[in-house]
Amino acid sequence: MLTEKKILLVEDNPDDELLTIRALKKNNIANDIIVARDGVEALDNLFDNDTNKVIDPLPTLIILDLNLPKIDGLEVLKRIKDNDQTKYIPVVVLTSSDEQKDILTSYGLGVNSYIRKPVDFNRFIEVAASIGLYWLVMNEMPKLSN
Amino acid sequence: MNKLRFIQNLSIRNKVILIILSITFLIHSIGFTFITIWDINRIKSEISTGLSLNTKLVADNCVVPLTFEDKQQATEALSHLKNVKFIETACLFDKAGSFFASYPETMSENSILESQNQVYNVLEKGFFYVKEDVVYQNETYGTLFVKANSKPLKTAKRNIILMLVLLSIILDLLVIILAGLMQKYISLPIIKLKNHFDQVAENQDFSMILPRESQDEIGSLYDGFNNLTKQILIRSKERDKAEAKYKDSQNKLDLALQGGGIGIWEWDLASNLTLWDEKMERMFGLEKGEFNQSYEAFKACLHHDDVSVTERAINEALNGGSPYDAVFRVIWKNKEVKYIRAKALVVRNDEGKPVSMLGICTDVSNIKKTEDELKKHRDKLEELVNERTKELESFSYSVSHDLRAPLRGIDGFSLALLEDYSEVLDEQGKNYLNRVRLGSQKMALLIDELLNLSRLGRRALNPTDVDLTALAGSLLHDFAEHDPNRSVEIIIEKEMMCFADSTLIRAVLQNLLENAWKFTSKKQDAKIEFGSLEKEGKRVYFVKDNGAGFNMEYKNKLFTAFQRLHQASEFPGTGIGLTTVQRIIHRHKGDLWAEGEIGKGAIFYFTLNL
Repeated sequence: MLTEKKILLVEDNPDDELLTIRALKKNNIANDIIVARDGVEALDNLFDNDTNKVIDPLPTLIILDLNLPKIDGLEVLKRIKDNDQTKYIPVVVLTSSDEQKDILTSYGLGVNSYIRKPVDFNRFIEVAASIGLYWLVMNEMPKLSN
Repeated sequence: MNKLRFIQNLSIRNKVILIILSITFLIHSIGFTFITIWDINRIKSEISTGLSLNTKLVADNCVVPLTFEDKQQATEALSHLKNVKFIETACLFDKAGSFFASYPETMSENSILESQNQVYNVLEKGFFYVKEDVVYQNETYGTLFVKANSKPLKTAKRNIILMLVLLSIILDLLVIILAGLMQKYISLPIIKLKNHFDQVAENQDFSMILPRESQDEIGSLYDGFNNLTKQILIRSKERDKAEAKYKDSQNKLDLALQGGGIGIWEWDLASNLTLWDEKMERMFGLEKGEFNQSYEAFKACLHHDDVSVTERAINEALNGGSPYDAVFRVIWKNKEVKYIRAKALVVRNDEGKPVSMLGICTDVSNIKKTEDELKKHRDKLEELVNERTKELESFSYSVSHDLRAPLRGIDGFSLALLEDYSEVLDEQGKNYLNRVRLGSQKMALLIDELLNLSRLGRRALNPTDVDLTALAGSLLHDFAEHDPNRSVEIIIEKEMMCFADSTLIRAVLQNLLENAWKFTSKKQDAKIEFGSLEKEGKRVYFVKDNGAGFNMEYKNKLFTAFQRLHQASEFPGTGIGLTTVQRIIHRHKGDLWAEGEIGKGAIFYFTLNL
């Protein structure tokens, strides 16, 4: 079992993907960043399609956009939180939308944090720093064994 | 008293004359009677004195004849009495009482005897009798008896009475003329009033005015009468108006009954007799006279499904509940279905028990048809609105997602360029990139505010009592905390409450107060006031500042999205704030308007009418 903390970034927009990674890197977050470009890809990175078992190792943090091709972000979130093994993974929604409906649904599904992507990239960097610092360093997670 | 009744029927003019005449007559009657009596007595005494003097004179002349018993001389002496015409006889007796001489010379025995026995110095039976002793040096020589008639007295009496009667007549005539002249001051105004009265009554013209001529009671009477006619005029005008109105409404009612196709019915509860007019029968698809005048016959006309509802409504009305107003279906003999609306009032006896129902019916089939069509259209419209709203929602959703993403890219990669390639960029290049970044950030802000604006229209209102004073206080407190270098005089009216959606009203105050805060930033003695006033019975709230103000010419542009009256370099802003405020106020059924003057400040007024 690897102790390396890996981050799953679910993002369909290549610009945002690049900018998010850049922002994380700028904050010296050197963790492995796995990128999924749609909902299906995101789920594939968590569950084995045939056996429906979780893929080991699971990411330590999932950064999830909502507006995704194929399966949308809220559905991905629902699947993650419905599964006993993945429900403890902190999921941070990082999206353009600040629609109340989205925020409410996300929290209803058990999201751990909801952050709106700022346009000002300086602030984006601050947000990335906060996410990394909070979820990867400060936050204590339950120790799970498969 | 009955004899005096005729006086009552006399005209006032004659009454006045009669009164004056009666009084004058009474007074001069008494006066004249007194004068007559007094004058007659005076004449009587004058005659009596004259007679006595003459008798004495003749008696003196008789002394000598008596002394010498010379009858011839005595008769001569006596004959002097003829000078006094009214002396009829005289008899002279000697000392012994024997007849001596007479005047006229010859007299009958009876006359002589009578003169001797007569009581003297009196007026009796129209004759004066005087007795005078013939005395000389205190010696009596005989006695002279004289009898005179009262002709002079009678003449005098006749003259006096004649004169007084004449005087009376002249006086009375004068009085009549005078009274005739004077009565007009009393009777003429009254007669005038009476004539005026007659005229008013005849012409029915109550606007005629009788001008006051004197300051006495009659003058007041005129005023009273004028006042009366004025009141009558007012009343009659009111009555005319009411009558016209009544006639008008009567006509309208007739017209409505005819044109509106209204049928009238009456149902007597005790006898179950149900009376319909022709219109009712036509409305229920019956021939004239076909309705058999019973409640059951009415019931038989109803659509089966509407019977129980209709009966329930009737019972409710009879029991004193809601007034009867129902719509039911009637099936004609040709199976045609008509919608009839019935309205009725319940007639009750003194104990409040219902006696009968009196009502009207109208055929509302066409209205019902229109209503149904209208409902169909409304449903369709609602569906359309829902569809559009959904489209709009999905539009704004994608705006929020998709429009922001490229902006982030522009900003992010511009910064990446600035950071990673700063050595190949000169200052101008960096400046350009910074401008690109600012532009994208500004656009993001605009998108956010536009989205907020569109959300305001969709968000359901949740109005509650809101403490505006506290809300404004906390907002201004926040501004002051963020801007500690500024000193602003703040005046907030106490205990201002309103009924509004608290989130939205907060946005209103946030925008208005923020504007006030922003536009007073260049003032030394900045002042912001939030208060309210009453205008035409409505509460009007206002936010007032002494800041940059605006030109009233552009007041219409204030509330238009993206319209700004100041340059961004002077006062930053997106130009959405007041549009948002206006949208919220309109959603609260209120009004928003503004007054301002450049350099002096601005006042924003708003009302809330939830």
